[in-house]
Amino acid sequence: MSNKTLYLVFLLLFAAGCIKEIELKTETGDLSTLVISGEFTNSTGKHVLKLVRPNTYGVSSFDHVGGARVTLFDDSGNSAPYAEVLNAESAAYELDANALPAVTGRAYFVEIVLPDGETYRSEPQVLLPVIPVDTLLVEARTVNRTTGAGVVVQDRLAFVDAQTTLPANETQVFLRWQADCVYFFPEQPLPGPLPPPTRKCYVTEYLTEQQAVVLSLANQNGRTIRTPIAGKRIDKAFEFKAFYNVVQKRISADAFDYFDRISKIANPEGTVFDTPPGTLKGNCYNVNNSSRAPLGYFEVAAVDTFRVSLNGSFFGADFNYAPHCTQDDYYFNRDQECFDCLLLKNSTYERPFYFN
Amino acid sequence: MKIKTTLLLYFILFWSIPTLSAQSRLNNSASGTYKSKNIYEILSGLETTYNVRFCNDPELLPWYKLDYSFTNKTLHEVLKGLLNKNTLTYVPLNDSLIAVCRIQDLQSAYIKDLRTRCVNGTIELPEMLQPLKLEKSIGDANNAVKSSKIRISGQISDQDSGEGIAGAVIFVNGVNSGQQTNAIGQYRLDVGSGASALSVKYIGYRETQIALSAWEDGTIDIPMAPMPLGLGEVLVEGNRASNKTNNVQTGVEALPVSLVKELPKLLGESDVIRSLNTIAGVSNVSDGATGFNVRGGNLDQNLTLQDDAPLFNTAHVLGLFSVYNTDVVQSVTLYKGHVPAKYGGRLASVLDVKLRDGDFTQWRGNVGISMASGRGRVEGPLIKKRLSVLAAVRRSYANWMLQFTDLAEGRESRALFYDGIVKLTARIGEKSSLAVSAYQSRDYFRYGQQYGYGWGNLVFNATYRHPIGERAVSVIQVNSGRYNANYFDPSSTNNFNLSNGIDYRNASWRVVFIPNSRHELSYGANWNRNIGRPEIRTPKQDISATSYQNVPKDRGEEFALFGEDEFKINDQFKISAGIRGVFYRNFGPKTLRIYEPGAHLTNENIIDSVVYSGNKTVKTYGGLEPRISLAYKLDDRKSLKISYNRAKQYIHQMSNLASPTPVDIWQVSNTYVRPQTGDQFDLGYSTDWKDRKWEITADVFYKRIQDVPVFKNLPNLLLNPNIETEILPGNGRAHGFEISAKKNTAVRWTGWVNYTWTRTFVRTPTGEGAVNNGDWYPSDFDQPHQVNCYAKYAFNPSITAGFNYTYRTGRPISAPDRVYSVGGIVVPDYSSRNNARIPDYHRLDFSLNIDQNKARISGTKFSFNISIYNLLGRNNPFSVYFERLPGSYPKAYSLSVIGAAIPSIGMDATF
Repeated sequence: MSNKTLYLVFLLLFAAGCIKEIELKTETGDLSTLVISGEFTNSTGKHVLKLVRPNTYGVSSFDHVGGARVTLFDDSGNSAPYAEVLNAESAAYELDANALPAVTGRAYFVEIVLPDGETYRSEPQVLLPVIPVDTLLVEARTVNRTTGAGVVVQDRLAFVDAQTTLPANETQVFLRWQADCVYFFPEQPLPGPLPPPTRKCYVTEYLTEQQAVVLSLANQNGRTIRTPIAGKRIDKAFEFKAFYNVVQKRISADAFDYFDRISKIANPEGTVFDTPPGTLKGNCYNVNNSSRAPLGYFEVAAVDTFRVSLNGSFFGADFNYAPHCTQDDYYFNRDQECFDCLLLKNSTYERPFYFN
Repeated sequence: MKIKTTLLLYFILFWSIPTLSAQSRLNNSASGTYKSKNIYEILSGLETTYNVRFCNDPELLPWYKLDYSFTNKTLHEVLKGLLNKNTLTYVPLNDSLIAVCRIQDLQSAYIKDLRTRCVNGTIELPEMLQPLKLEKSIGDANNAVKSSKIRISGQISDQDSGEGIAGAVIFVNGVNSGQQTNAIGQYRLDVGSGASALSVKYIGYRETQIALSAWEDGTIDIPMAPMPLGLGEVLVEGNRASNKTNNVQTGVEALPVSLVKELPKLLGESDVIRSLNTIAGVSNVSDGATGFNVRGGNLDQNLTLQDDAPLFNTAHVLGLFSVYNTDVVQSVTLYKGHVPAKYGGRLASVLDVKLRDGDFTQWRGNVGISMASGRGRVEGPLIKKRLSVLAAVRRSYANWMLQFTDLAEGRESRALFYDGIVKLTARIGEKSSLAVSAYQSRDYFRYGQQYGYGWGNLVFNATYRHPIGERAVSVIQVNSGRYNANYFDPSSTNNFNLSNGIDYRNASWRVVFIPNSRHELSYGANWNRNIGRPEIRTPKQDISATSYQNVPKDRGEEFALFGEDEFKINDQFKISAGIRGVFYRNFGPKTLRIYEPGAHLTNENIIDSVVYSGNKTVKTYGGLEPRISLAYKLDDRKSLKISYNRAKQYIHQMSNLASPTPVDIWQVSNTYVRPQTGDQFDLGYSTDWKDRKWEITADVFYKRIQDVPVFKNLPNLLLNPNIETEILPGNGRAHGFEISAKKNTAVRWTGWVNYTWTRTFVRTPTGEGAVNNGDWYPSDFDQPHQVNCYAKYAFNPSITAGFNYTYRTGRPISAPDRVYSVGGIVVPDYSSRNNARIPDYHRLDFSLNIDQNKARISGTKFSFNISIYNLLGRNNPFSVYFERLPGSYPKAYSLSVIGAAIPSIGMDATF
């Protein structure tokens, strides 16, 4: 339910409502709490776990907690240590996927020992069987958006839906999706004689970055469901070639509950009908001192990734996009990313393997 | 303009010669003072002062009261000053005869006819404007006992229904103070031996005058004749100290329906609930929010009644309007301090809304329109003086406003409501009556084609009232009702329909017995059964991610015995002492979950379950609820009161929102959800000031509550069979004071100003899940400062303008005090509950009322209301929410439903 639309109706009734930014003065909460954020899946590559401290409200960077000893355990007594990786962009603890194999039906938990000896653990979670994505369906839809000034505007978005056939013999299934759009963005050649060679960027837009798309499904008995995952504006991303990547995770009931609530906290609708927020307890606990409970979640999930490629022609009349970059941009000193594509957020020269 | 000029010339030419003498009298000077007199009475006085005679049609004169004084003024000046402001004029007819008429009647044919009727003496006051005159005698002058004081007693009753009139005033003419009738209309009065002239007055009734010859103590029953709506309120005024000074109870607020209709309106709709917010200690969350809060209490701690039947949701359009149709409301009383023992089951207040009976003598009705709805009422005798009917209906048409939006979802949205009532009242015998009614309200709200709510109340009521001897009245009442609600989301993957509600039955028997002039006893019993309707979720389409789910809800019933005595110890001291004994049981069918002993109530700690079959008792509670109020009258105009009140609440709304949604469930007490217990202490002072024009009241209160449900962080309250796992048994406390000054009786300016300071806190047990570490923290409705001010200026009583101003401290909210990131999601963290406040609330409204009901006696009468709601266009926050824009951290935004001045107009025609 989109409760903010209740407000929209009032707005429509009276043409008089409004939204404005305000300052609220509160005392800063406890910034020494440990935040654990990590996952262990059946996918290949690295399993990443982050340890940070909360920050003052209004700041979105978080201090890495270094020097911890992080170990993954399974219910068969196997374990594997994470390695701390420090780089300029982000610090984290990583575990090679081969270090401890992901076995369906086996339970996993993580233990964290901080340099001061304080120990944290996650509750063991069973790795469930994978539920694969049947296909992805993309189509253009119109959605309303309320601007910060309270004005309702309409956006034309390219939505991606996941189609999934659910297992026939399971009464309760919990799914979570994450989606991104990776598009190709070539630079424009600089005008003049002997221009330097142009480069090609691959830019990632995280479509579910601030939202957990989760679903609880009961007694579906082999039914095929279609779930809207995310949408993005039909823009320059589709000028050449883009991929929608959707990761479908099968999660536990506990993880579903956590991510459903975290999504509500992070994305309040903004009316008196909103659930009053509060601190959300995750699945980790402090072994030494129960009053110093950590925040965050360590997720064990069975994942399946599905991707679909498309470009502007897919959207027909909806894609009436003039070329984003021209050489005029250089003269008029605009759209500098046309000549230096790394200026685009989350861009890289490294070509993803699925671009050919 | 031309016509008027011609008429004036006509009068000058044809009437100038014979009127020379009158002209000279018009130039005579005199002085005079008239206080609270109508124009007819003032003209009568002027006849004596200036030795003239006035001819007029009394039915066409306005009948409201005026203050008028003049010093050494000519009659011409006096008449000009008196008549012009009231759209009247005068014409000298001959040497001593002056015609007074409405400006629009100034035509030669009419004036001629008026003079003829005046000369022939055929003009009479309409019956309804004349006092009802009675002659009564007690005893025989020849056998008179030698006594200077005769005591008379009896009952003052409605001559149509035979029902006793509580609060009527009987007095000996010329004596400033009178006696007020008790709850069943009985009075006792001392008069001198021999002939006395008595008057009886009560708002809404013709004055009754009694020429009494009394030679010994005796009984006189006095009938009163009802007046047309509206007119009675301006014709009759009290002759006594204010109700607040006389009442023994603290914190009782009676809101006249005429006031509800006069206050500035939103979209032209009179609203009982919104009007309550002008009372000290009463507030709500914001514009467009459901319900009201009393002294910082929760919404579900108010018992909202309509003809003694509870209404579980009083909101139309999610709280913009209320379900009470003011066309049929007779009285609105809010008990927020001392609550009479006949009421129980809620901790903060009782809102007692009584509906009118149909007229027993003539057919009448009204139709009205506002920008939001249209409505109609008709009432009259099915059998004259025996059986009356009242029927009223109201239906919204707010959809038309949605059609003007550019947004497709807006045009496709629907916001509809209706309510309707039919009430039959029969007189059985001389003084018994039986009233049966059926009431239904229904709302439908849909946003685009995406989601919506439906909800409604259905109530059947039967009330039998009959006297027991001369000193008691018995009232037997049976109610049956249903509140049901649904939420539907037809379009998403999770498409579903969720329905729930509550069924209730209650029966009560109450006797008011007045053994003598010092005691007024009230006692009886009631039974109340609440049956939670199951929460049912059904997929809305063939393909849905949701499945069918049926969560049965609890059932509970209360049996109560109560008794109360209002005891007049002497002229200074009065006590109202009552007690209510309640037995409550939660009964099956039910599956009771058993939790590990000593462990927290969580799903993980469920170790067993026990199945109870239908009607089998699962859990019982009960106890005594004493209440006492003591009033000490310092003098005729001042009183001091103190009261203590205990109440228990066995039903709770499972909503942790500032404004509940229609589908928030009502949960009766069970093994784990204990009844709330509240104790309230109240100290009050009231006085009438400045010749009783001002009524000043002050109240100091302290309240403590045990077992108030406090919701855990992010509770799951819908479709939860183990709802106790989301609740902590908290304690609450509130304290504060209220001060109010009200100017009741004045010709031009009336109104009030009140200020409330109140603090409300809650706390949970320490340990796992404790909110704010188990420390006291401000409750959701803690709004320390509140100011209400209403000022009404009467150009004349039928044309008034009013300003209403409200200020309230912003309510507490939980604001993020730190932020962290998990799984790529930046999460604002609310580690402390209610640690911030939304901005303060200010609102100024204006209304202009033109009401012929208060001036005209017969014919179709129109009234208009022009309102500007939120005149200053303030953006009062409805709520504050936090949003993270891309690339930014979450910021706080205030959201206002009404951020501009909202003008509206409403019209009503009474026939």
